[in-house]
Parts: sequence; structure tokens; C-alpha cells
Amino acid sequence: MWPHLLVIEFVAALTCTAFLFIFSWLVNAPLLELANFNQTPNPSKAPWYFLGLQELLTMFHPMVAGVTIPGMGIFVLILAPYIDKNPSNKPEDRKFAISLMTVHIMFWSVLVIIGSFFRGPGFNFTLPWIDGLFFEL
Amino acid sequence: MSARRAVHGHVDRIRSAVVTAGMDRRGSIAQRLRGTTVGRSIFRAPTRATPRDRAAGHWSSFLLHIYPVKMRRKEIAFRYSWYLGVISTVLLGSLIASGIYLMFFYVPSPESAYADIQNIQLEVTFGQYIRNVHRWSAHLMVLAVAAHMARVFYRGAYKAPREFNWVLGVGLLLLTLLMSFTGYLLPWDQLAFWAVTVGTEMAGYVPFIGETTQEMLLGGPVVGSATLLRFYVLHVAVLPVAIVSVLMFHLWRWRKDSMLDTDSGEPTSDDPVAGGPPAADEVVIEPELEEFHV
Repeated sequence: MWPHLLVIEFVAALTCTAFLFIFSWLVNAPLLELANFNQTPNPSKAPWYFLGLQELLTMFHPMVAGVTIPGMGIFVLILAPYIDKNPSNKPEDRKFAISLMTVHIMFWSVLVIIGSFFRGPGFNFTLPWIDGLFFEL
Repeated sequence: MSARRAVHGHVDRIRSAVVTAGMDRRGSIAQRLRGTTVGRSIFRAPTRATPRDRAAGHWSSFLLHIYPVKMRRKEIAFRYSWYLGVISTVLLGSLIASGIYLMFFYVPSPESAYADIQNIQLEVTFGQYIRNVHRWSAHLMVLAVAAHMARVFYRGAYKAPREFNWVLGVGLLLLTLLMSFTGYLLPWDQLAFWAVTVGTEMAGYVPFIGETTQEMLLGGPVVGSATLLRFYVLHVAVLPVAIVSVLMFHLWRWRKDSMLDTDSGEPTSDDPVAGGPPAADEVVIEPELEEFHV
């Protein structure tokens, strides 16, 4: 492993750390006013990685949106290597597996993007270039 | 064309000659140090003359024990993994380091939490900066872990015999999300408070166990001082221990599984040399591995 992998890992680690240091020097973490139980911000949003779920909850019954869909997603993800018995690594032999994963990734990405940028007061649909952003990291 | 190939061959020969000479000189000093009484007490395999010696050195080295002794060259190329696993691990290291620093200045109580964050930002040396590093590392880690999973899937790298390591990886993704979510509450500002209120409300929708789970997380009907303490303990003690443990298991499996020929005989379109037994220059270290299996 020396020097091949260790040098690569060291350079990857340095690049990653350098990016973090520069980014953190330029952009401050957000801190809003003190938590206030009586004052609900509008819209109230979950952290960005849960906004796909929050978005689903506006479309379906909580049982479907909060349990069935994400539960199935995680379950299938865990079982993926046991379901996919195809021994080949070639993309051209794995059209179904690759399409399915791409649809899965696109599904959550699109939901998270809509939840993050296209939902305003009352969690109603807005256009960020007209009504502005309602999103904090 | 043939002239260019000849030049390339010549350059390669020179390069390998230089590398060999450099290794020899470095080897001789390091070898002499490893040969001393102290050196022998530290390095169990003092001579590194043959590939077999070098492999033995890896087997017996504590610092290298998580690394595979042997990997294929294409597996350490950027296009194979995009180094997303390494990046996730580096981000976890950055989070642990910056998180420990922040712990010195933070008390998880609704009376003091917000003021502590303000104090970190205004008074503490490098406080704002370290907080930024912690926050951005956390968001990036969620992205990096998810991207790592997608890359592993598209590469087909979860296939036998690596199925179980994929399962561990899904566990690590869920733990990463929980780490990020529990940390979200700690600044105790409007963003934290209402994001966690919305997030835990979603847990309440799960049938049968939903409301119990929600109450266990919150320690009461709404987000309050009990919630802050619970999230803090999960964030700084329970989940870090869990994530580091699973990560060690994940890396250990990687070490073991990397040495198995998972896709020889399966030439990929981007890798025409992968078919059949590996060529001599394709493998980084080519020891007689069987000799070391006990």
C-alpha cells in the first residue's frame, strides 16, 4: 500500500481539508434568533435531507409517505446485493439495476430540491426567482 | 506512432530505473534502522527485500492494519471510486476534531445553549471558524456518504463477496443522518427548534411505534430541555461510538474483501486488462498471499 494508496489518500485528505478550511473561512454557519416556542416560523422546514419526506407528506397519507415509501426504499437498498444476483459489473449487462437506482436517486433528489427551494410560506409552491429563497442550511 | 511508443518505452525505463534507485537508497537507511534492537522490537518483519517481505510488513504493522495488503491498480484509480469513501472518513475525522473543541464551550440546557453558541462565535479563539468547519463538514458528509453509496452501486462493487459490507454501508448512511439530525437541535435557535419539531413530528406518523418513538426522542410532548439533553447525549456519545464501531467493521471488511479477486474474468468496458489472471504490473503488491493465510 505504500506508497501507492497512502499517497493518494493523503492528497485526497489534504484537498478535502483545504476545501473545508477555505469554505469555512468564507461562509459562516447560520444562527437565527433564540428558539421561541410561541413563534412558529413560516414555513417550518426539516433539515434538507428530510425535505424529501416532508414533501411526500404533502402529497400522500402519512402512513404512505412517512412509512411505506421510505421504509420500502431502505429495505430494498439493504437487500440490493442479495436481490441482484447478476455477477457482471459491466454497465451494459446491468441495464435494469442501473435504471432502477437512477430512478431512485432522481426521485429523492427532485423531492429534496422541490422541498428546499420551491416551497414557501404555508409550504405552498413558490418559484425561488420570484418569491425568494425559504431555505437555511 | 511507433516512434512515439519507443520514446514512451524509453521514458518508462528511465523512470523505473530512477524509482528503483530511490527505493534502494531509502530502503538501505530504513532497513538499517529496522535491523537495530529497537527497530526489531517495533517492526516484526525487518527485511523488506522481496514483495513477500513487504506484504509481511503490512500484515504485522499496527498503523497499516486496516489497509489491504494487495489491491489492483485500477481499484486505486480516481475513476474507480472517486475517493468518496476516503472523503467521508476525512469529514468524519474533521467532525470529531471540531466537535470536541466545541464541546468545551457548550452546555446542553435551554437556559445556556444559545448563549454558549453566541459566546463560541464572539469570544472563543477560532470559535466561529471551528463552528463553521463542523457545520459544513456535517452537511458535506451526508452528501459524500450518499454519493459514495451511489458510486459503489454503479460500479457493481457491492456484489459477492462484498454483500455484507454494503449492508454495513447502508447502516452508516442512516447513522450519518441521525448524527446530523441530533446535532441540528443543539444551537437552540429558531432554525434548530422548528426543524427538529417538524422532523420528530414525521416520526410520529409511523403506526404503532411512532408516538412512542417520538416521545422517547423528545422526552415529553414537545421539544424541550429533556429533548436537548437527549439529543446532546446521542450526538456526542451514543452515535459517535456507534458510527466509529460500524466504520471499523466496514473498513476491516474492505481490507479482507479487497484481496479477493471479485471481478477477474469480468472485463469491463473501461478496463480491457482486467480479464484473466492479473498482469504482473497490474497489482500493487504481488506477494504469495497464500503463504500468509494462517
